[in-house]
Amino acid sequence: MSASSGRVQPIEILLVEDNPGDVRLTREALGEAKVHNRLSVAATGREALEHLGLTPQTTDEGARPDLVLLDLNLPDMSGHDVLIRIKEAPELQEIPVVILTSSEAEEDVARSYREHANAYVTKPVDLDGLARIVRSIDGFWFSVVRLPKR
Amino acid sequence: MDSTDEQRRSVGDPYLKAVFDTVGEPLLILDGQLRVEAANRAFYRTFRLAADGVEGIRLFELPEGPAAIPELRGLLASVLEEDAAFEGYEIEYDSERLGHRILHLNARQLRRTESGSIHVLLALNDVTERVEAEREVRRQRQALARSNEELEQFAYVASHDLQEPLRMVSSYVQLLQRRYEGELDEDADEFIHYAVDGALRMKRLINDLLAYSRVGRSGDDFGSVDLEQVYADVVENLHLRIEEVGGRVQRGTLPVVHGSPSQLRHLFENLLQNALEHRGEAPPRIRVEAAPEGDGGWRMTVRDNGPGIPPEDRERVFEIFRRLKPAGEGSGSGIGLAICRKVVSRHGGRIWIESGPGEGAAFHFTLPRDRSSAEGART
Repeated sequence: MSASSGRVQPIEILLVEDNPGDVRLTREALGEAKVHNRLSVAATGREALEHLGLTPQTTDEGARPDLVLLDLNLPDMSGHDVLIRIKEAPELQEIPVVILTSSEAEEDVARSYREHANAYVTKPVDLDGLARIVRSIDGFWFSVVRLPKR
Repeated sequence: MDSTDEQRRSVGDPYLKAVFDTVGEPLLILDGQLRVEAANRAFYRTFRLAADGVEGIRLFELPEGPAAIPELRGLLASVLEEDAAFEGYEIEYDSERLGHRILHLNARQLRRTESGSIHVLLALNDVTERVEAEREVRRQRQALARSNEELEQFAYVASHDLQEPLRMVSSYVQLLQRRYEGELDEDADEFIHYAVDGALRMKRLINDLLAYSRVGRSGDDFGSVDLEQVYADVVENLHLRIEEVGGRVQRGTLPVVHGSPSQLRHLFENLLQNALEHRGEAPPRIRVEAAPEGDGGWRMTVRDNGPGIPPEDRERVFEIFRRLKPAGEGSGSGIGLAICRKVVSRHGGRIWIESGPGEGAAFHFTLPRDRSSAEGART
């Protein structure tokens, strides 16, 4: 990855989120934060696994994400399970997974890190807060740290 | 007294008879065959029997009265045969005439020195009302505790679950404002303004409610808490605000108490914040002091030089979301003092206000003494 200033390729983000209001909001926040990105959305755990090539029926449409934003509260399965599947897959485990959830339960925080989440963020109540968080996620994962080359 | 006195072989002595009848507790004296030798007035009153109608009759042949008491036969047998004595033996039973009764029985053997005959003294203390009142109090206390618990749970769940839709409302209204302010007509701008304002206030209320319901939820560890340390931390936290309003905060010697460090920090912070916020014309002068209480605990006082609090408001300020001044910029939502009261009551203490005109306000609260040392006082 190159530094964000010189980045030509958009960041591939997979957002796993079932609430359309939240999806749109994240999209807006990415825009407000001027993050050059391409956003894919999975509304269920199953869609997320398909997108990531973790189910037999996977179509190879889904680009390998540079970052996964994962809600814990999904309709079909727990976000924890999605997280575990990603971190168990040799070809995916290096992708940073940021838990983005409304849960403030200590248990969820601790468990997510035990399951090798790269960061745990509680959804802020307003747009500015979300934009700030999106900006710092972008700044941190795509400028500050160095990730392995694909 | 009257002629039946002579029949009372056990209490023939008028002196003893007077004592016997004056005792408020129902008393029976039985002979070795469990015949009633004497019954005092309280007995007839309690068991609603015609006066003097039981002497000479075997206790268990009485048509009404104590014969209905379960276990009594066995109890009396052991008194007669084994010289056993009973005190406060509780019996609960349903009597057809008297309804539900709870008795405390005392029984012991009496032996006449001259004849060597054996008798039983039986006291039947009717404690129905007292015991039922105690039970009622206990029931109410449990019901109250349960309803408080449910209320707290409700506040927690409500405030927690309200966050989700609130996030949608406030975010999208904010987005509307940011994108379309000035592009629609004036009415639209005004509507959006009020919607944003309402969402922000709701956010503050929900956060406060959540903070309130979280006091003590995490099962804070109670232990020894050095209030001088708590004070130092809180003043450090608030030092910008204190400087901003030109305030001065001082303390006397503060004790080590038994409590939850995080809750007590909350308490001190809210009280100091309250004193800084509700200041008068003069720069705020706040003093925190401690004085020993009679029960070994402590009475803490946070005194300010603000405008004071009128008597009719001194109780109300501790209510949730109660504020005495209209909401303004930078002011809290009115949860601070409610949190204070919750913390103090979780420490088994109470909080109250003293305030005279032009004297500022003094917030007093009591805290339990430290349990790890004989006395929480500093030397």
